[in-house]
Amino acid sequence: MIADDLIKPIPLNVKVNIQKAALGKELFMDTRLSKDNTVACVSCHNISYGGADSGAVSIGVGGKKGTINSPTVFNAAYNLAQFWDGRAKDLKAQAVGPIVNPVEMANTHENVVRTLSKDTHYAGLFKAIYLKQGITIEMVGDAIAEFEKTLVTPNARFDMYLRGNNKILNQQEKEGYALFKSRGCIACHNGINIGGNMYQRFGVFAQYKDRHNTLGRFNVTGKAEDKYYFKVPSLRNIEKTAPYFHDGSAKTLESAVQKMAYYQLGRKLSNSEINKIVSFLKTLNGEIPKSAQ
Amino acid sequence: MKVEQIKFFSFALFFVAAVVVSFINLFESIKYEQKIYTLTGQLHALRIQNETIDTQIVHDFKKQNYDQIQQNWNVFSEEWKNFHAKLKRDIENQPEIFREMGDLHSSIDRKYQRLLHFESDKAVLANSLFFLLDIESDLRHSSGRDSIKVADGLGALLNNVFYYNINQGNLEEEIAQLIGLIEINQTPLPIDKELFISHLRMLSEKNKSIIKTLETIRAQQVAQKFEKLEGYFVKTIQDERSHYMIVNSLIAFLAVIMLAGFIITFFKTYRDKYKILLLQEENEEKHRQLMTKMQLLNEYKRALDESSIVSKTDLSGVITYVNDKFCMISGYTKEELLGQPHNIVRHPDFPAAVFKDLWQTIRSRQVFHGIIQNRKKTGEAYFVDSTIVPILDKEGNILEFMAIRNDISELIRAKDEAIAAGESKSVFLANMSHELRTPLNAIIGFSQILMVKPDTPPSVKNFVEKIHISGKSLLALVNTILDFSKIEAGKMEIHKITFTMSQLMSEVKILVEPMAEKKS
Repeated sequence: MIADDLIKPIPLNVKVNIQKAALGKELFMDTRLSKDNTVACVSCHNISYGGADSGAVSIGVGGKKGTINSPTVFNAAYNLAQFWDGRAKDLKAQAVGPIVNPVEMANTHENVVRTLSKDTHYAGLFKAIYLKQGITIEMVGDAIAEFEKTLVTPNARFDMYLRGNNKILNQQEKEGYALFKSRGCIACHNGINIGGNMYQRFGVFAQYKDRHNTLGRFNVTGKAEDKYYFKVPSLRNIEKTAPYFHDGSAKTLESAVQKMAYYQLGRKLSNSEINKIVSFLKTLNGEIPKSAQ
Repeated sequence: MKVEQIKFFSFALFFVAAVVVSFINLFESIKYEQKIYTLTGQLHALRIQNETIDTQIVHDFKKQNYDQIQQNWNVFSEEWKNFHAKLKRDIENQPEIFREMGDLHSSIDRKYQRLLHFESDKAVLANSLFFLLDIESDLRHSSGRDSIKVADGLGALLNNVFYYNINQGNLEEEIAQLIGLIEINQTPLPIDKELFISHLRMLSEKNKSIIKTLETIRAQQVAQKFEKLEGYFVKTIQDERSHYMIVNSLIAFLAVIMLAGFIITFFKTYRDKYKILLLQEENEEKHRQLMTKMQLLNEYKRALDESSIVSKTDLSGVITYVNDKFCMISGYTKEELLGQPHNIVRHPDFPAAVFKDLWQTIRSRQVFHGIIQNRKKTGEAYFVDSTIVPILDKEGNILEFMAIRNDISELIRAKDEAIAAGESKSVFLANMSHELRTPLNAIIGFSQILMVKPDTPPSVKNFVEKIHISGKSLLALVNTILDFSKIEAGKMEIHKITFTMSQLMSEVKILVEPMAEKKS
């Protein structure tokens, strides 16, 4: 039933348009995308910090708190869609979303385009890359998305193990991986991103409600059957992206694993099992990409 | 010629236009067909992709790495989006295709939504299966009779799930039975009964959900809709071809007509040009002849003008032309004569009857000859020998009258003088013969008396005889002269008389003897 190729290592090389990615990086770091020039993409997706921030929810312009934990930007290219509720079908669409979110950058797309157009440096770069006069918000999204494609974290120890380095994991971690498979975690957390390729209801065996009663995918589709469905998050670099879940309610991996087993798997895990699984999860830290340094 | 040219160029223009339009139509058609071909190819590729995904959904459902399906789906939906955009850009006026596209588009969307649930359900199902596998193993390792019984039931159930398709068989019933079995179980099972049941329920629930999903996906009839849409595309290509064929046949037909018109006009023009050339040459020849004749005519006219008095009048006798001689003889200038009636030169003595005859003659298209007495400006008369000719056109209508005259005033005068001279000669001759005969009678009478008188000596008698004969000769001469007068006057009479030859001869001898002797 469980095939060996359920989890695949992240490729060592990604093909991107280097110029476009460089432009995307500048934009990613630029606070001028926000209304009051205080927030950049990187503010919440700290690429030296697991690609997400450390708060349960992120802080936008004017210190406004969002309602949702910032997902990591690392390996986001491998997700089936973006945002917790999958409302952006790809990185291009996602990249320009927070710009207009009132609790994130609180800006308008027109304003961003205007600001960037005034900057001769940007105007020149955009023209050189897109071979067209003028900047559009689609170009901004495209450039940022191209940069984000470079934000992958290869060479996690587990990836090396998958590539055949049997000795790189210790016994505890190997047992953790075996439990990860046998206890059903892998049913949802699979694929190259160990998650990120499907939606799942939060609270399969028991009802789960967060403080904001976030409805998840329902907000996108409007269908009752989609209530409380969220994109299954990637477990890569999971050690660095605490707190956990869409509401940031799990502070530690142990607590997250325990809750997942209860709500999602309908199981009770022993502490020893939990520890082994957490040990396994910690083998998923990849190399911070050069482009993020 | 101009009309011909217009015709010629119109035909040529229409022909070229028809050919150009035909080619444009051809190229447009090829381009359009190419576009539809490309689209049809892409549609077919999408259809295959969709089938691949369907296969993955149904047959690979036991696999749990959804990356492949997601990836395929992402590729599919991206290509579908591009296809949709391209279709909107490239195809016009195909409401059927757009309707089907819209329908297919929402079907695909629904299918994808269901597919996402399918994946979620499968993940949960898989988890429960793992759990139940563990349970089965636990039960088999325990020694209780009931445990084995439950393990057997569970094993059969899991077998059913693993070896047959999830949605086959009476899974619901089996699960319900098993749950019943667990609940009525007297002996404690070495497992968490509650979790066991909840996973069994989950298995049942997700099985139902998956069946529903598969049914929904099937109900979307995406594959069938793809097929239908492909049919429309093929039909569109056929329609476009037949449309193209009709339009181009029509254009070709028009082009042939235009070409025919063009060729006909071309040859007509060529032929006409040739004809015109011939005619022109003919005309030029005629013109040359005419010019020669004109020249001749002018010369004749000059000759006439030099020799005769020429004038022309219209039908009512108003002068339209006079030559210099006319002016010279009449004493009028040309300006005074032109536009005046011809009787400006009519002499009052000339009898009206002749004029009447003149007009009758010429109006009946006959030539009038005659001597007419005219009057000069000074009032002096002059005589002209006139020929008046009515000038006729081809139909014989009188156009004008032309009078050619010669001045014969001198001749008339000479004639009158001659007549007068003849008359005085006759008078003179008559007078003279009368005056001569009177003395001659005396001479002849008295000489006769003397000849017969006996007392006349013979010598004298001879002389008297000679005087008598000479006298008679003179009388004969005078009579002859009188005869001439009579001949001139036409009164000569010839008398038949008998005479004696010897007497005549002796008389002739008497007359000529003395002269012959004299000359010896």
